[in-house]
Amino acid sequence: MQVFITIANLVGHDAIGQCVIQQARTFLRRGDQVTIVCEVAPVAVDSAIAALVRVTNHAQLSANRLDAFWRGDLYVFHYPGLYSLMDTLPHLDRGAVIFYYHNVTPPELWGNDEVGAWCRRSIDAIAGYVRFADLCVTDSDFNTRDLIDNHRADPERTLTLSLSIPLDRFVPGPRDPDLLTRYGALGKRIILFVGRMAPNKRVDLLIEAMPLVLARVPDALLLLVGDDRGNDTFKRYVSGMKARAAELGIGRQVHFSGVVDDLPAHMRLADVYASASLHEGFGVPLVEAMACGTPVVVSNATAHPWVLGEAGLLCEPGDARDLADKLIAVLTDDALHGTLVNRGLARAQDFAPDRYDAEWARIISRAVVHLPRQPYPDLMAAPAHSLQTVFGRPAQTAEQPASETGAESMADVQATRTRLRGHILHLDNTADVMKRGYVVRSNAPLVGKLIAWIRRNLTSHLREPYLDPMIEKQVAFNHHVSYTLHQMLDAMMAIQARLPADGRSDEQQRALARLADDVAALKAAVDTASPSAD
Amino acid sequence: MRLLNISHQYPPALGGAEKHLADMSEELVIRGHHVDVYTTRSTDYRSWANTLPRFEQRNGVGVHRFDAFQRREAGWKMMNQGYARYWQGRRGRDAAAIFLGSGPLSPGLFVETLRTARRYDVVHLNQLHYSHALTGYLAARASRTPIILTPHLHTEQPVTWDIGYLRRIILGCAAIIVNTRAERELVRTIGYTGPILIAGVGIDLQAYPARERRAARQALGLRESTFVVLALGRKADYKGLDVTLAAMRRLAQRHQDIALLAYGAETEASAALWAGPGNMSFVDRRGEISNEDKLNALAACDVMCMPSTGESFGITYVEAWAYARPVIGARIRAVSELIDDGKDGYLIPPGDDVALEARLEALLAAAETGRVLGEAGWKKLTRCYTRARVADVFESACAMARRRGANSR
Repeated sequence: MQVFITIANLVGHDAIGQCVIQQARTFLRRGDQVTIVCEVAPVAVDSAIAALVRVTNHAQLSANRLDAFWRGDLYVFHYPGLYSLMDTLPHLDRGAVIFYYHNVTPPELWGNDEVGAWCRRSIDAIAGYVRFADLCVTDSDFNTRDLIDNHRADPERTLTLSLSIPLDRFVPGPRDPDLLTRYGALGKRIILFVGRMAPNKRVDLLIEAMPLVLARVPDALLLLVGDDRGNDTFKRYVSGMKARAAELGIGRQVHFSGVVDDLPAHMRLADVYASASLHEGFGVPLVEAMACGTPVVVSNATAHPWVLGEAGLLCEPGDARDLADKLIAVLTDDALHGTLVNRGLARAQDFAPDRYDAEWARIISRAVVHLPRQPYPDLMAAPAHSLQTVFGRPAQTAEQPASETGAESMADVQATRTRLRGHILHLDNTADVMKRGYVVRSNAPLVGKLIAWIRRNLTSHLREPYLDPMIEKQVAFNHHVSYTLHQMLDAMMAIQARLPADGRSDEQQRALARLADDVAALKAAVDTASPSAD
Repeated sequence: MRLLNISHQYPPALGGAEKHLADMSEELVIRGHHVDVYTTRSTDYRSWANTLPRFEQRNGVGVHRFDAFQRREAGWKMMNQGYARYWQGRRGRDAAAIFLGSGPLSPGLFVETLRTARRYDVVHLNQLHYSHALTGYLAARASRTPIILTPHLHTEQPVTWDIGYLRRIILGCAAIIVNTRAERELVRTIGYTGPILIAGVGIDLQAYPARERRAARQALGLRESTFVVLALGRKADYKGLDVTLAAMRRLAQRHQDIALLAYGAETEASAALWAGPGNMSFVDRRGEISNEDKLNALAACDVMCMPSTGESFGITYVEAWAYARPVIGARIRAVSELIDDGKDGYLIPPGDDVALEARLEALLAAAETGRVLGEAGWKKLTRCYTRARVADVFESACAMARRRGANSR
């Protein structure tokens, strides 16, 4: 399959860039041919990814400078805002099209007319692209709602797929003494923010909250990490904030680091991660902080509540006092701090790359289901032990719940859930065994068309009344199994994760046992239906 | 894009599906697409009589009309027998009887589609349950041109979709455009897995010019103080005119100054209704009316009432909203999606004249309530049911179908 991923500019270290790179790698693993189409040369990407990039624009594509572009099988248009390559979307004559929406910052949140005008144009253009896409994919529930409510996206064809982060890099660990020395933070308690120094991030609110925090936590230090000189807007904003910090007498307690190389180490430095941003389509730093065992306090706005779940504290948007109160609570209450760390570690597992890959593969399968000669979900690629793992786990849990032994912490329960969900997603991906887009062809010279015609027409009396209904029944059964497992897993994990072992009532114990019985019955049904399962 | 529409009839023939197709075709022409229509020469689905010219250019749309066999008594009988027997065993011969009896049967339309369909990017079938859908479908399939379908299904009426060949047409389309979520669910139930886009029906606001209530009433001979209920549309048995009449009769016992405008083509059902006993003094009944009278009626009424039990969408409610009038419909699936009960109109249980009477009584007592409901309806119309909005959906479906067609070639 020939895949084209379009993006205005590919920057290896930003969230969208990482998303594009991860998708490209998924396609390569599937054996697809991938081209990343950008308008400017890529930045900070490795040579393997750079080799996939073609730099072009709409005018050149229209002039057929990249002829293969118009013959693609799958197109993924990433949309962080308007760029000329998007204008090819309505004119594609073949293939499947995914519109990948990363949200656009409302113009009023930029203190810059030029950027604000671009944002306005970007927002206005969304509906015109959405309506031509086979599927829309967004990073968060907030983005999905935005697309459906404000840009007329079809709910049936709009899917949420949260971004992932490299959990192998973002792990808890000790503070780096060199960094502590560099920032003069030895013995200090660090409040960290990571992001562009743009007005919509409302870093100024963090500055306003600092005097209130310092009154209760005198050793607090605000560390602001991110691009502070990328453009004039950033420079003006930072300069204004520095002046305000000096005016408040906290200039020595606020540190702008600029862009840093080792972000995980900075996340581990922090006692608390804080963001007062008023508009986030996702909020990758939140997840990175949670994965590093850093508690999070953010504004209750846009995608923040969805990303955070119950793993952090939310403050009123635009309210410096409330932000300060929440920061003080986390910095002074050790029990709360510990609880948030544990919850954050568990929540971060939901954004694991393997989970993203599994769901992305499912979306691809759905998008290209009508294309001919597709590599249909490959049952042989399923791990040989996956079904046993899926079915075996709940039975074991019912007999001897792991948490009762004290061996499983909340993080372990979450890890189990993530692993099981991965297996079930794989089951779901491979459920549709029907060769929907199969086209009878023959390469035989001269008589090829005749052979294809005979095969197509003289087998239809068997295929249509007998084979197709049988296979469709199997597909429906597979989907039903997968759906049922999802429901059971959710129910079981909800009971198990919410209740401490010694606090379970008899009724709750019985509910768990019933669920285990259901899983066993389901396993028996699958074994009966599929002789090869064993 | 080059688009070929295949429809059972096309304006000047009357009908919601016909008007919908003409509106969309003309809007697409304005947007720079090439649009042709293959249809019959008929204006009357009861006979499929060949009365219209073979070709005309209507607002940029090339309308090619083909002769169809006229439907006579034997055709009706064959169709009715087919329907009566089909669901007993779903036999092919009964489906064939339905196909032959429904019409329009137009060999010329089939041959010309077969000959020319490959010149178009997409073939669009308008209205599923007449026979042109199957002939157009087969011809387009044979020429391997991607097909999109606007079926206009009545979810409560299986005759519009639950016949074997109708299901096959649905399953063979590259994209389907529906009017409501209920219709989409039904198409999914049938087993269609491709894209289904919800368009609804859009109206051209310019066709509904502002009109004074007082002047409209004068034109229709109505007093300013009269509480006017409008029942607009063909008076088929399922349109709920009997329910409206029953509610109005009881209302007339308590209120002298009320009127029911029953405007639209008469049918056997309505003839039986008028021949029945009971007070009719408040009824102003007219058959097919001019557009001018229709607009006057919409502007003059206090409420548009159509508790129909068989609607695929309900364009009449939207037309009432064009004059900010409240509407009352029956709580069937399609209408429930269109009318927000208590926000832009009222929904009553199907066939419940007591509930309808209560709603009318409430509107009669509080004119302000009706005004608020009507204003909300107007806002909904401008947001969701304009011609441009629906044409966007149509364009999207064509683009998807075109891509899918290219993929399978």
